[in-house]
Amino acid sequence: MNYLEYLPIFVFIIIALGLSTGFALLSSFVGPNKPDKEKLSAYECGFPPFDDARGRFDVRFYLVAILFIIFDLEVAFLFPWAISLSSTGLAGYISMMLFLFILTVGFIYEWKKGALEWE
Amino acid sequence: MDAFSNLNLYLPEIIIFLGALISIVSGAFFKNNKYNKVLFLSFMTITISFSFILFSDISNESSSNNFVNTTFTNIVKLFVLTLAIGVLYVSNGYIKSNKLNLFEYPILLLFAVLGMLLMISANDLLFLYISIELQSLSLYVLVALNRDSLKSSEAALKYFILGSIASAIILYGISMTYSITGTTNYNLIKEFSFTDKNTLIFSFGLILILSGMAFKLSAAPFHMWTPDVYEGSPSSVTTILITIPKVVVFVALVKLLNEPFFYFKNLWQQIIIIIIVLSMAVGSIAALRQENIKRLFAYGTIANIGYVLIGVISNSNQGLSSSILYLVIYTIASLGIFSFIMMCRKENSQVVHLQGLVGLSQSNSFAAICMVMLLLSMAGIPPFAGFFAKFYIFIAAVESGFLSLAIIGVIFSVISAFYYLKIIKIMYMDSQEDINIYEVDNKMYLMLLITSLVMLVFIFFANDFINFLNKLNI
Amino acid sequence: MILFFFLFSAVTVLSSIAVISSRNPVHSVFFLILAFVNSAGIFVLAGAEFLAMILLIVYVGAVAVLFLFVVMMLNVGVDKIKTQTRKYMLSGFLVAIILLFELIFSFANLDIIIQKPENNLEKNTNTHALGNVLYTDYFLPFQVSGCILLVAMLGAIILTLRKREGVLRQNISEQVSRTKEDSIKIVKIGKKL
Repeated sequence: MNYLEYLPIFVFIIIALGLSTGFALLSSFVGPNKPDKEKLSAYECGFPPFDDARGRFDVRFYLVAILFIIFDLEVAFLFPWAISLSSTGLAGYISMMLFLFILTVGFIYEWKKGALEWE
Repeated sequence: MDAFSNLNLYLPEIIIFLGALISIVSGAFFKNNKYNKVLFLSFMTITISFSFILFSDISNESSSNNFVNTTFTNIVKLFVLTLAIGVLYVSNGYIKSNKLNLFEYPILLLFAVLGMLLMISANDLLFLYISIELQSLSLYVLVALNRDSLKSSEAALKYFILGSIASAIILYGISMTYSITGTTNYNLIKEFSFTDKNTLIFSFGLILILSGMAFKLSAAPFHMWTPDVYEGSPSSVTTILITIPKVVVFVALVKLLNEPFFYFKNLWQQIIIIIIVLSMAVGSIAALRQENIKRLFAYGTIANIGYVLIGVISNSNQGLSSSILYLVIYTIASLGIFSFIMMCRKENSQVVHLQGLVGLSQSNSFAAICMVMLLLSMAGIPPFAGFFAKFYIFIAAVESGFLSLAIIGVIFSVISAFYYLKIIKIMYMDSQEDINIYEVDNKMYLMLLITSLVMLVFIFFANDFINFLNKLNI
Repeated sequence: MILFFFLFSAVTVLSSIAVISSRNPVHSVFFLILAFVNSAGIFVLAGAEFLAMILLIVYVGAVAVLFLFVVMMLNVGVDKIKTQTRKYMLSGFLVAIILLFELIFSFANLDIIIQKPENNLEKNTNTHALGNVLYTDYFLPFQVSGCILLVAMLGAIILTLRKREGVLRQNISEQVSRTKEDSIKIVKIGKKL
């Protein structure tokens, strides 16, 4: 196993780590630091806040996300197929087309159901 | 190319699969009356698949790497498809009156059936796992179908989370087995375990797989989900849950124990004995205090699974065939009882408590008589079918030297007879102020009649049936 | 390499502990992502690059996002969970310890060498080896997994999609096929008015 292929990724991670910690530390040392209680209180046009700052997400986001995951998995199956197609030949091709056909049926279903529409 | 060269090996499954795809597309395109049309399509699909198995050579034994057809699996498939048709047929009225008539309902059942058919023939651990997943995922959605009901959602959540943990445990067991044998094929694992005695990881794998399967069967230490899920899900879905998956998972378990793990019989025999005793105890004792009808029968299932498993540990083909006999009779009786539960409806809501059955003998004497036959059969009282089921099971236990197990079984079956008789007492002897009037649904009546007649006339066929099962090489 | 293994596994274990112990559920999800990324690193060290990439694409890219959605959708009260966690801590520990002992026992007694897969990984990559068997030898399980995805799709739509009443939607074919006759009604107004 040749791990040297991963060296650029490793360097990249080191640089990212260094930069992000550097910025975080730098700003806490260099920036002016005058704590005040009022700075932490919520500002909402002079009123105390009515509600929790984190609003609830709509279920529809969830539906979109889960449909995304399903197609993401479908794509994940495509990677090894594309690489090994030369050795699996026609059998591999047919088998992937059938797989895609199954998911296309699902796609037709969700299109007709209006799951992809945003109201 | 193995997969394409013998396509006719999986033709019944392919028919179900194509039928489901066609139903999805056409269901999405139909303008109105979607449910009825898709229901018709699903009936057609199941019937075609059924007749295909029936009219092609039933004793055709053929196999590929991960898929094996034998006479026995063909017969089990026929039984599963029959049950699927029966369940769809009988629950039609219930589905409509409870506004569950989404056209996806029969499609999901088709996919569950597809998973089950594949599971019956599975000859590879990975394939077994993935077909269990297909079946379970469809059933999770079906349980959650009544999404405006808090109980249904809660049941679905419990079923989903616990079910996925059980699947994960099965997968963990499979990975342990794979790590030591380097294969997931049943035959190769069997060969391996015969020659190689490095067994600790292998037996851990077996234990984990067995626990996951016991969960899917709702056998005792893994039964916690059963009452809640059966109570919360719509009764039509409970009818599915209590009948079809039990048969299929049991058949898969038997195959699992007798093929890849055959040489580990000493190990799994002990585990299953524990499961049997706990199941019978939990099921019989906890059911005594239940007031909710569906909860009561959920505990009844747990106890019955205990009896069914007795046949597995015996050393003979006879034991297995008595288990299958028990399972067949039990599922038919459950189908009848649940069609009765779906029928119990007054003032626009389902009857959920035992007290709702008070005075049934006067308001609807026909249903009451059929119910009495089914309940007496469940309790194991002769001349009904349930008696023979228990009889053969106990005989098998005694013949293979598990006398104490047979005695425990008899004791618990006496205890469980109490709550079945309690229902009869409520229907016939309790006094009531107002007479309950149930809405009548012909389909459920018919199913009730058929199942109770089966319980009644089984006495004439008991011998032939058990001989037939004995001849099959299970 | 052993250094990297310990680095990755230490961060995985620590961030997993942080997932269950941090007070804010959103932070938990972020720690979960950290755990996923580090397990991907372990996969790479074990020579399973394909699994590592799938872990990044599917888990970090999609599942973690879904987790964030769910956490934000439910708006879970943190303190309530805290008190409940303590109640189940004991049984959870028990199960964890049993599984740990199982692993230790079984690997301590392992005296045969686990077989390597037959494919020659020096020539072929991991992904290649997987592709060679997945689409041909495991044809049937592969198609069944397609069915599972389809059922998941059906289930997600059945359980979450609600048609709202009173929302104006665009229906192109209907709008285009409108004719003058069925949309305009000409009323003759008499001279009396």
